[in-house]
Amino acid sequence: MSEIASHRMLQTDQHWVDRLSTWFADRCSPILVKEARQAMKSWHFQWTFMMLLLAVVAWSFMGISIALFNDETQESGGMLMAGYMVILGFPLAIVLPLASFRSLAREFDDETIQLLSITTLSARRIVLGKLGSAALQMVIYMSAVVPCVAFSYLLRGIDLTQIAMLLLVPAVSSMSLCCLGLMLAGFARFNWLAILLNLALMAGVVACYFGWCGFNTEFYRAAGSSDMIFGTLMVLSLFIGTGYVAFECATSLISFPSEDRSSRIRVAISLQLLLAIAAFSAFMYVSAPQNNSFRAEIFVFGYSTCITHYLCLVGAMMVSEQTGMSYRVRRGLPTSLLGRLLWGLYVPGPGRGYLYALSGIGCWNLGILLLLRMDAQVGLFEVSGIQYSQYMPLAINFLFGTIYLTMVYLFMLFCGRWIKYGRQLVGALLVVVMYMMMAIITTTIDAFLFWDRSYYNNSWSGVAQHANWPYVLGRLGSSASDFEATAVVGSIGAIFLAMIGCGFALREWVISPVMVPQRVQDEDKRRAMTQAELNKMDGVSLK
Amino acid sequence: MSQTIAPTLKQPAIQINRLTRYFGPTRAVNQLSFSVMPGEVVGFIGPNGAGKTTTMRILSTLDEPDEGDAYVDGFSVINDPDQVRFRLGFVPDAYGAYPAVTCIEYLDFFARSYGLKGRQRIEAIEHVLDFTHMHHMTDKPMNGLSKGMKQRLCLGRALIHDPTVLILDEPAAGLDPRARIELKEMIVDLAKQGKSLLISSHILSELAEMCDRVAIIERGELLASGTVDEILRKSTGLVEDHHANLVSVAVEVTGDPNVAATWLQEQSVAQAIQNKNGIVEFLFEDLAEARQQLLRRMVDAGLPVCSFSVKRRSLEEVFMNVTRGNVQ
Repeated sequence: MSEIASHRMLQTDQHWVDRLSTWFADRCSPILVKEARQAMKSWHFQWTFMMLLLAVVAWSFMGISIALFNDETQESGGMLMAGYMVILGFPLAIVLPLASFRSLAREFDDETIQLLSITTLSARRIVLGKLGSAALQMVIYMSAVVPCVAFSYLLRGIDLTQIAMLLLVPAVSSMSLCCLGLMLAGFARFNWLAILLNLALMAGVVACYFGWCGFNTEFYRAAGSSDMIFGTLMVLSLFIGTGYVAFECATSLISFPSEDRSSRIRVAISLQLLLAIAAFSAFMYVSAPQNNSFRAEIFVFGYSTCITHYLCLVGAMMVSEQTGMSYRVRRGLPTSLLGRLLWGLYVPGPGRGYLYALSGIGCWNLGILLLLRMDAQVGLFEVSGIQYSQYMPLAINFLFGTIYLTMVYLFMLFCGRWIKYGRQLVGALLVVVMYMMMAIITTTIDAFLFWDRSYYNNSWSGVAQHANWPYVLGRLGSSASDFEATAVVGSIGAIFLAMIGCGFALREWVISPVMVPQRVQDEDKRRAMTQAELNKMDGVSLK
Repeated sequence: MSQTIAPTLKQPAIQINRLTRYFGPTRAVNQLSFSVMPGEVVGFIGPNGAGKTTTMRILSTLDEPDEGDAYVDGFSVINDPDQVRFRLGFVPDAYGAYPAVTCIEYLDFFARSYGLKGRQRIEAIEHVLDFTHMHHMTDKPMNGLSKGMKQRLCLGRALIHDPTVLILDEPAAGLDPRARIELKEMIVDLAKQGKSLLISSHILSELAEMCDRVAIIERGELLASGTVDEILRKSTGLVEDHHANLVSVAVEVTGDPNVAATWLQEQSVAQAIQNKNGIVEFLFEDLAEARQQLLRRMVDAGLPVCSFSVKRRSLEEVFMNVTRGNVQ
């Protein structure tokens, strides 16, 4: 025993610094502690940190030399800062997300994920721990450039707000990419898939890095303009929203099957949409009226198109969920009528998923329509140039989004029982294939039948294209009126189809919550009390 | 060996009810039901692909059954996996080592993962290191450990939160004889501490020494469960009450063994008398006094007995009798 007690990790009479670190580690996620230990020992962290230090020192000398050569030392802070951020972007945008991916994918590889899963750590804490470790490494990487940032500020040419923004964007985007890496790693159950996903992530983060370099250069050039600030805020909202959804997906992917793996993703998607609305409104309200060359209709309808079809894609995954609901999920449902009404769309299940996505598509397009009408009457955004006929793309987005979503829902409802594995993936693939096929088939039909005739001279040419979503949208976008009837009739058809879908979905609406068994309640209470007592009596405390 | 507690007195430590698990068209586990009582050591045996690991994974809350349910200390593995995890330690067939992590860091990490803090965590690690005799290995990286040491560490990891139920999947696979004996001793110690153990292994002779009962599965179905003797009796069709306490006895005589066999038949004291390669085998009462008397009578009758021994049934024999070698 004396040998055991002599080990530094097991000693209770430690130095106060060790006691402080033990106290802190006891309150941190175990995953964070383990990952941090592993990361600090890893060669890639040590080498990246070393290379980062060398690069910032080299850039400092180079930047100053360039400034001296151009005799611009007084205003060269911005240029230096942009360089530092490009250097910092490499570990933050490339190294950390890939390391996060590897860290979870390796758990599957080494089969340690099963050891983690049977501990009392929840999936959320596992993902949070890994993300925390990435955040810790990010802070260490950032600490390497702090003196250089201070140096840039002293040289002038950049103010504190800009510095804060320049540091915030890589930090947020890095965390978001790490979440994305963790989400992809959640799928990496097979070696070949892990390699494919790793390559995809690598391509994505490299693209992000180049985007980040471009952003830095642009930020340096257009520093202080409201466009830049709002553009930055929009980028931030995009990363925050996407990162949160990816985080919830990663958590869901490693959760136990009987757990609620859908509600939190739906909440995250709702928040993502709220952020998108906020960014949209802020941009329309502040930035758009000041910009004469701004094409409001492209912005508005582009936004509507992206969100509608994003909802259609995630909706297709939701309607592909399993129909049964475990007792465990039912135990967590709200028991009050109001609670059930408010929470209804967030409860797992394909029917509720359908209603969630459908109401999202409807509300989103209707919301934009109302905002634009308000703008026309009250002058809220003071955006000019949007004609009434140009509202039609909203109807087209609603139309195709609803039709495709309902078709996937009905397919899953009647044929889904034969799909045992990867139902969500099948749902997503179905909708993607539908989007692609409808565009390809209609274009092919049109090309074969009417290839030698002018479109405008033949009343039948282009009929097939009425089912081609991008074509219709493109025509309406260029103010052509020949698809307005399609938009109106199609919308009515979509509403009719949606009503059929809703009829099936509403059958799922009534669910009865299940009470948590007394024994489980008692056990949870007992454990909470024991833990509280242990915390009080904790032998290794700061006192 | 730990005492088997009567099922009527306490609720089972592990209760499996009509457990079914499909993998595509394959039914890996099919309507499996059995239980392990508190303090009992049960061997879980079956050919490769019989569904042992799947059952163990379901019990350890790593997988979900398609039908049926399993309970650990009365908590459902489907509905209350958190409660199950507090009570259960699982040693899978893969060790699951972290690179660049020392033994003590590994144990420390899992102690934290089970919510152990401060002094409680330190005591738990000390206890586990003591139990597995790994105190001299604390600073060794996991990757540098031998297979036997890794297995010990893995067992230590499973014990860090002092679970009442332990599930060991092929714990002795790939271990050298010394490591196997040490592992067996540890398992016996754990049984003495009152822990319930479900162990799967292909080394049946060792299982037989450790286990109170065995459960044999094939193609996901439970073929037999009980003590080795009970299963053998059932498998040989000797299930009547009056055959309940019989052992196999082997008698070697010089000269013609048929003489001894005929004598035994005439005396009507033995069952299932067979002449196997010059050795007469038969089933007889499992009482030492009765066997002494029989031997005396044989000698008195002038039979040239040169050896008289009780032939204990091996688990291999039981396994071969019960299973049909079907693979899914």
